[in-house]
Amino acid sequence: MSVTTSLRRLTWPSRDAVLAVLFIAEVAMIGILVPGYLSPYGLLDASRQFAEVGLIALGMTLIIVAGGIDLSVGSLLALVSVTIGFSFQAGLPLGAALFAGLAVGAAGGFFNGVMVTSLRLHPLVVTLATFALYRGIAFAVSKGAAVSSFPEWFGIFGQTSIGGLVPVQLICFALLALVLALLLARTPFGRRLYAIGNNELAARFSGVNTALTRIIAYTLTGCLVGLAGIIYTSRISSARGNAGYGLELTVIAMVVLGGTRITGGSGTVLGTVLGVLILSYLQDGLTYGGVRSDWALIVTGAFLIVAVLLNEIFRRVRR
Amino acid sequence: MGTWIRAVIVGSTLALLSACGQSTGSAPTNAVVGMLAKFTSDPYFVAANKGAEEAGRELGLTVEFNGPVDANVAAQADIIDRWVRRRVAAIAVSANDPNALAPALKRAAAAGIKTMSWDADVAPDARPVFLSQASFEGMGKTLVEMMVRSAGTAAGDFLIITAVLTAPNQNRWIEEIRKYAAATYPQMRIAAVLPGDEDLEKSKNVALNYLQANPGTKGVFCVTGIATPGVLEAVKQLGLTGKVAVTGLGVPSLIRPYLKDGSLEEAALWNPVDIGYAAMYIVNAQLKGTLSPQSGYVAAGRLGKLRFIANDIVLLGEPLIFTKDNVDQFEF
Amino acid sequence: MAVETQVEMPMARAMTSRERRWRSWPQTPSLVFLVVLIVVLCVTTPGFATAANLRGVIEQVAVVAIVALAVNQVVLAGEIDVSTGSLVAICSFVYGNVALSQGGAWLPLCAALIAGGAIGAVNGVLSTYGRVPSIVATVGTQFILRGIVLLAGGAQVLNLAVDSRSFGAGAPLGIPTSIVVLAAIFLAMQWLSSHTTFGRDIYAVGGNSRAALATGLPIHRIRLLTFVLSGVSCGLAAAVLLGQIGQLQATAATGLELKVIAAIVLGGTRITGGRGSNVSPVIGAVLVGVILNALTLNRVSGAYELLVLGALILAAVSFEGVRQRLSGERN
Repeated sequence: MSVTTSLRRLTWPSRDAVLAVLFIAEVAMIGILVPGYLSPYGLLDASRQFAEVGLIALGMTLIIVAGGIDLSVGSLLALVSVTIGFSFQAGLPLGAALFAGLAVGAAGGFFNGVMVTSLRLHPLVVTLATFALYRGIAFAVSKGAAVSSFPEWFGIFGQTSIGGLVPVQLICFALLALVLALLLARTPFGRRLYAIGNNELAARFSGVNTALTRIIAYTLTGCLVGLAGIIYTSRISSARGNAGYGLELTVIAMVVLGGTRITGGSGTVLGTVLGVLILSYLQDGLTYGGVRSDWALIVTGAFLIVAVLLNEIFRRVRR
Repeated sequence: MGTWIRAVIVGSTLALLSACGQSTGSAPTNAVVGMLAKFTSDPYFVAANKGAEEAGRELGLTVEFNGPVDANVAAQADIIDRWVRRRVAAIAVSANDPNALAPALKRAAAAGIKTMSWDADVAPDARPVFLSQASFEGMGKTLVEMMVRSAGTAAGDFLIITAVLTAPNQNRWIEEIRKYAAATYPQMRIAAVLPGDEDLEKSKNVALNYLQANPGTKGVFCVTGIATPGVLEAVKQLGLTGKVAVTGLGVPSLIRPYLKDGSLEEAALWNPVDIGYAAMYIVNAQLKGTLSPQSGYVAAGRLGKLRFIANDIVLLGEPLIFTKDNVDQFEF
Repeated sequence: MAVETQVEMPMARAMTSRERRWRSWPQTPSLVFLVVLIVVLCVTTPGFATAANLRGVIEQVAVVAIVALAVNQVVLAGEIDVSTGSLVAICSFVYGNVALSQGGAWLPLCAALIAGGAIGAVNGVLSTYGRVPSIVATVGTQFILRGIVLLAGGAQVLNLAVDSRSFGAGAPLGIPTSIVVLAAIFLAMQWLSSHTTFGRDIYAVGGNSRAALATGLPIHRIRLLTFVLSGVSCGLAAAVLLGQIGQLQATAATGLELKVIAAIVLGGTRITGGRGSNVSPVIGAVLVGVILNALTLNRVSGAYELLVLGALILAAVSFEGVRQRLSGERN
């Protein structure tokens, strides 16, 4: 296989080309309709809001490709945030609190994975339970209060930028997107995910350890949620139990928009990244242009449905 | 070929959505003021916006009203950040959490944007001035006195139903209720403070469950206007009207039927249209550089002069008490 | 105990009573748990066993139970509907506005039922003919509907006249209206499941849709109708909710979908479809209501509510998973 072919396969499948065109068209449209929107600083600054969601969407891609789903990511984010804040308040040094947050994220993901695989339960049901459970723990620990006094240096994760222009979390997101894209497309682990998503039984008969692979996917997502939690808490400078309400649905919308089939078996990280960009800049543009938040709900919902519909229509046309 | 059809269809869908979503109004030549509510689906905040727009017309300011769909502080911070990016002239916030919005407001100030808070304050070092609708002490006193009048006694256990547990203005009022009661009516005991989360149904169910378990409760304070109708329904359903007194904040349009049928005697509020109106006048003074605490007051159009009760706090006025006799005069 | 088969085949005749009992096994654990819980609470928590308290509990779960009964049919058919919260909100908006302009209760109810059914049909079309997975379709409609309600009704204040609140307030013959409505819906669903072909077909479609298709069942139409049923029940639930509260709030019924799914899952209906009865969601809803009531009576802070709910769902789901593995069923 020549270098150009593999390069082309990795970086420019046709569906993703469409999404890229879409993204550019969208930003151009917003730029025309909303004066003052298009500026390098502005566009980069917008990434502050979507870096967290984007990180989680990367992990969610792996899960959905393998035929699963995870509805608990928003609640896990809240739990991570509360862990960081309240363990810090209880006297733990902030660095240790951050590690605690990461650990909680990984543990949450791991728990999801174990429940799904060992008890052979439907991931929808398991993650629905943990959706309530994780946020419940967050509320119980925080008792509805919030921790908002962090040292100045904590802002480095969510509030600073390189060269005054490129937000730190954007770089983090870009790096991890690259890593996960390679993981999914170029490693045996990634291939196993696709196999399980396409036909779990066949994968198992081919010797794939489906349980372990899925647990890894869920745990990895949990780690990403942990990282997103750190960035989020740093950005808002506040740790509270109601963080990330509705986050999971936005994440799923972005993944599906990016071309990943909800039933599993196909999808790319690049597609997800484009899905993240398209949806985020749309919401960003709307808010920037003065449109009320209620519209954002309608737009997200409409996009989700339209994306999946088109997905289906063009899969048939393609065939 | 299919790829391009795809792109065209989705692109035009996007264009359509973007066109629908665009805010009406030409590129503003007026200064733009961002008016941030706790959440947008509340007649109180919608009324405040009306007042703000009224002032905006008088002053030549464009008011942009926004807020989360529920009492969510992260969404508020996001909205502030986008206003900062746009370099609006000023931002006026009513906060769901006093500390969580501080960094965003400080970023705004660093970018040269004027900031102030109204209705629900943020951390004092994050804003130069706060417009208080009624002094906290005044509110605490009014609430307690109304309760004593309704319940006919000050001795016993009382329940407080609040908004979200972190809401700053509610928490200050609860503190003042406790302080005033401890000083004036020592036999008044606040038995519990439960959140209704600004949801009618939840406020009702919380009150219902509590009153069933504690039928000896003498009265319920509703420190947010959304809770009041829910609590009144709970009391009515349990057949405790007359035995358990209900009072607190009340938005006239929500409590009118209860005032008329007697299950509610009094409720207090201030005019939300006025608070929005006054907030814009303060913002205007900030933009023109004429805001001076030393002079002791701010000129606020048709509201006259508003006093500074502290170096950084402006008082709107005294609470309005609604009864069945005067409730029809108010439209909000 | 009869060996449980892995596949529910469509039946050509009505069930015998033994088969009916056999079919109700999935509810037994939850029912037993509920009974045990109630007994424990009667003993340990003063104030629980009063008629007023129990009445209050059932009234509070009425809205959830009414919707859960219908969504149960959707789940039985192998799909899911998470748009119910926003659906109830928009139906109460319709109900409220019609009640304000026309008065009375039956006309607004009809309007709400029609609105709910229409939106349910949209959900159904998207999920079946549109090939959009129902989780995605109903999440999408949930967002869209909530946004519409907030925009159109956010600032609107609706005080309902007493005669428009008939479905939720008042107590004819001493039984609260909401309970009467719930009982009526339960009976209707029971009749649907055991005495109509449609009801039987739902089990077939959910149990093994390929087999059902092979036997000639119109699986798309059946699933679509379950979504319509779900929408109609949301319209009814809206009438009851408005009757109970008396006022409209644009953020009403937020989070209802979680309670509904929890009720269905806790009650014992299998999430992948094909197994469950009409008693399950009611048991599940009452279970949730009783537990939340117990928390309040025991002065447990509201902060623990979600935790208990989540732990409960997890326990029920694990229990079901262990049971399935032990009895040799595949997922």
